[in-house]
Amino acid sequence: MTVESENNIITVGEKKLDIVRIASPALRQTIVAMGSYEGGISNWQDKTWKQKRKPCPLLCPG
Amino acid sequence: MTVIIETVSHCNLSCRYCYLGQEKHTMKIPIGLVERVLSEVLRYNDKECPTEFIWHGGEPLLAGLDFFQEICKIQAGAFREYKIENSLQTNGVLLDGEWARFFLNNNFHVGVSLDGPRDIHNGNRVFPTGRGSFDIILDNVLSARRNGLNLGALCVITKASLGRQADIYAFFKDLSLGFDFGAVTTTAPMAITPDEFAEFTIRLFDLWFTDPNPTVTIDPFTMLVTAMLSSRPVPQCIFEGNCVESYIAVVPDGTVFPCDRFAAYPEFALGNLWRDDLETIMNSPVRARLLSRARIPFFECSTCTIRKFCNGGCPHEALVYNGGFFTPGYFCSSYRQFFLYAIERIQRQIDAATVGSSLRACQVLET
Repeated sequence: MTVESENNIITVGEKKLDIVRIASPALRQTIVAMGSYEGGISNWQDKTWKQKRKPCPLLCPG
Repeated sequence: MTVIIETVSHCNLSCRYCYLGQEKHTMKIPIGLVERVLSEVLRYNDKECPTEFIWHGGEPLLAGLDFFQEICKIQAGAFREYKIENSLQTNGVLLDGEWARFFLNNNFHVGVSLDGPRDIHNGNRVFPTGRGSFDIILDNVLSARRNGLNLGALCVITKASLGRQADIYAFFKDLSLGFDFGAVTTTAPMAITPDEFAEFTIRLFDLWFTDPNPTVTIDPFTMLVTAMLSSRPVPQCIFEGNCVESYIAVVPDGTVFPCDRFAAYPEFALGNLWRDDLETIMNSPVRARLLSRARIPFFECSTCTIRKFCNGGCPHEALVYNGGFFTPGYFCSSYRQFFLYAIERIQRQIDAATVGSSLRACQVLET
């Protein structure tokens, strides 16, 4: 999957999203952040996903 | 691979929900064992793939700054050709400017445990005297940021958090402090039910999703968006299905567990790094049994439309609450309620923004 950003259009896999039509600012920001990742999303599926994955939020013991 | 290291077994707080309970031995992982962990793990792991070390506890800062300086020296010396990432989860009590500069200079990802506004936090996270820790931790968080350290927060949801979503959201937003949250998993009186957790999560999601100026990221929500767009599970261990494949935890005596949540269960020990090499540990029958959880679809999940996002949840939660890990996790129904609610709303907006196509029915849940 690739994500590229140009003229408000972000390509996510086979889908082209016009981000200005996304009403939720939070969702828009999240998708734009995905699109601005280094290397686009040719790297997203594996590398970025692995980098973003996190351990359990409840690892905090004390 | 991600290695969770129980740096020290003790803590300077006595949080009321702590799963370590009152029995806290004062053990610190010896530098010699850390060297052995680094050597075994880095040799075992793919050299091209970063290995993450999560310095955990107890309270890891009790190990002392000189301990971490030594670790960084070792990593930059004998292991300099490997890709290493360091993360650390602290309660923030000792996080002064010197620590902040050290973490900044050595590229540590630092998470601080902060349960939201003062009254909620101080109801949970107290010193052994019973005094709340909020003021000192907030001061240290602000000071760390003045020193240039970018922090994340970890917020534990208890009975006291219920109905306080707006306060919690406003608190982190005012601080511009991105946060992650999860339900307390003890059975203490402050524990919440799956329905309560679902309700809390949905209301918090609504606050974030409809905020005209969302200046704070909330990890489970942004992670769900990335999961939907990348057709991967939500990138958090409890949703991976095969967390056992990529995580191990090492405690100060060298015992290796699949995760530090299992450290209270000697029957889940995979081996000991003083005695065994990592290959022997990774081939342990206990690990093989846990790995099989990801391959055996539970009856409860067989027709579930969100299975591909959560993969049956956390095996430890399943063990604690259901008596065995070949079942979905305790908060299965919470995740199901939340995912169904949030996915529908996210997908509706993605469909509306898709160029060249009119609104389509939600396809995310169908595949």
